[in-house]
Amino acid sequence: MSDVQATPGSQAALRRANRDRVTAALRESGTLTQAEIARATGLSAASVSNIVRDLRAVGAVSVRQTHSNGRRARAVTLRRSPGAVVGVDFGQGHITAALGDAEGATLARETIAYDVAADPGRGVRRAVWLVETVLAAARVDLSSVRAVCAAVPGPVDLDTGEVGAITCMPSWAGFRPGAELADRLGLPATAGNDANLAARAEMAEGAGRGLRHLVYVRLGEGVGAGVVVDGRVFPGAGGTAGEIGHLGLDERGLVCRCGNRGCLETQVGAGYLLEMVPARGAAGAPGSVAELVAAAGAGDPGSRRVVAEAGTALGRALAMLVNAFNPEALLIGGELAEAGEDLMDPMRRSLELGALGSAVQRLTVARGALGADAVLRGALMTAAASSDATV
Amino acid sequence: MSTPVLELSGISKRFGAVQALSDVDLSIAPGEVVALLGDNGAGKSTLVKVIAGAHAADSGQILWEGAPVTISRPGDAQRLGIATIYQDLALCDNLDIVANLFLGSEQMRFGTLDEVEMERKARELLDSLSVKIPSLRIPVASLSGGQRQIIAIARALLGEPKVVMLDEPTAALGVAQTAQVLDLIERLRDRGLGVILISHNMADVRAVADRAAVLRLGRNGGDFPVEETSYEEIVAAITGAADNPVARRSERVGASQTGEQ
Repeated sequence: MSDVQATPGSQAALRRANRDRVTAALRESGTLTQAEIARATGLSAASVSNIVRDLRAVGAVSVRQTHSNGRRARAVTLRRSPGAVVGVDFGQGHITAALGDAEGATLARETIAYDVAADPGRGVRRAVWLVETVLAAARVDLSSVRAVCAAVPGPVDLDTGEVGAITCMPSWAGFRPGAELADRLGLPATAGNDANLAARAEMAEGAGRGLRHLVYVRLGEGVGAGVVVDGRVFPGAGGTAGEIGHLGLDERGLVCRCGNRGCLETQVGAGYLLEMVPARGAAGAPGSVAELVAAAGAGDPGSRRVVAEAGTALGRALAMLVNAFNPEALLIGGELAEAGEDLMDPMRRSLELGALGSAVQRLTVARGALGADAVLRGALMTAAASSDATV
Repeated sequence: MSTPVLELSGISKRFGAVQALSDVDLSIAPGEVVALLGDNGAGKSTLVKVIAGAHAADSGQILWEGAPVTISRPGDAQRLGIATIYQDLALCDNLDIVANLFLGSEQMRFGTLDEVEMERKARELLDSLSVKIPSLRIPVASLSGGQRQIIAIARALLGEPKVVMLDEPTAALGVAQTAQVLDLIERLRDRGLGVILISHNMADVRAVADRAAVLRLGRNGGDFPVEETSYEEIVAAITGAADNPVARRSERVGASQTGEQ
């Protein structure tokens, strides 16, 4: 049981206790009909019916029509540990919330447009609304959620849960999204870096399945990487590992918000790329990365050049990473990755120039298989894993 | 806290044998979102109609920015700066967005409608609310429910009100559209408007409201700061679970126990 607990004697505490009685009865006896559950637990038939409906909504039990003493009955079987998890993805300009079962599979999800960067407190408040809305639509009670995991685009301190000072959302620096979510939802909640969570998901069920060492790179407003070493995401001493957006590439380049000059982010970050687009601001000129990618795909020479140069810069930075870690796979995700070979081809070429032959020999370079879902999947898996530990 | 922009005290309203409101108080500060909650028949709509001037109150006092006023007709409320958006939105489906926004307050130039100026103003207004609608010249019938709600709210803002009342703005909207309306409510608050939000959806209330004023059977059932109050306390106030013989007895027992310590 979690230590964040509903007030004793409250409706929520009562519901939780009753649900635990039902699952305990099922665990002991295997399959029972609803009437047998009612007899075994002493709960009313109506309560049992409601609880079974809740458990079924999170995939914890299967229900089958059967007959008992010549009457119709519903046989209930426990399928997996009851309890659901919630994943939240704070992206640039959007929030996604998803409900997952105890093993982290996605049951329901919703995305809304929201200016996340503006104010972290409001962002979390809106995320709580979205979580409540998703749960209400799936008819899952908040009290059956065991853990929440949120993804943020920036490093998250392992000990304090604070978002690092240099992120693409400056107002979030020093903010603790995990603690804030836990407080508002009354559930155990953690926060993690989006690239790290995506790396975890790609390794478990995406393009990195079965691999031990891989690097996942997420291209967005900034650039983040999730480094998987020997099957585990490597967070570093304080959670800042993989912030490759601030690898210095060009000492005469643009000054980056981190205070250095010519960081990778100034060459592939979404904001910088859109600055480079010729005829910027004119009607029909790309105003977002998605539009830039589409324009490059349609053969617009200016947009193709911008994407290709981003690929070249990325390849040079990733060569350093490949030399340092010698991974089996390099997976590219995020909005710019949608450009496909327009980005990947120049990236591969400059990567091969910069990396050791022995380091690229066994290296696969590919796009992530989960696409934009990777972050959310990683958050659900992390929440499911953390709830296993607390049950 | 600053002076309330609108303050009602002791408002009572009777329809024949039915006492719809008795001695109700409500106050709204500038830049505050107050959720008006209550079960069916609790008096929410009657209170809104009293504020909007559709029904005059039998007794009680209304203060507007600290000064007593009487609101006996809808025109009175509009002149003060109270805008009401009812659930039916009152949009004309066959007219385009600009025509709907300026319905009844069309701008004239040389004896004809000044479409250019109206479109410019409409664009400016919608931009200031960060509302993205590709064309202002499409009939309102082709808009989504959320967009229609936003157009109805925007129209109310043309009169530069200080208090906006929204009656169930998110009912029957999808998740993404509800989020747009919630964004708009936050923007109204940031502009310093007082917002009265009537809603049955507790998640929506908890997402944007600063205070929740509960009505129960025509009386004040409690006034809660939303951020510090649990969902269950508010529901208890709406349903009256906090106000029955059992609850009163346990309160007395609790009070006497703390008294003994």
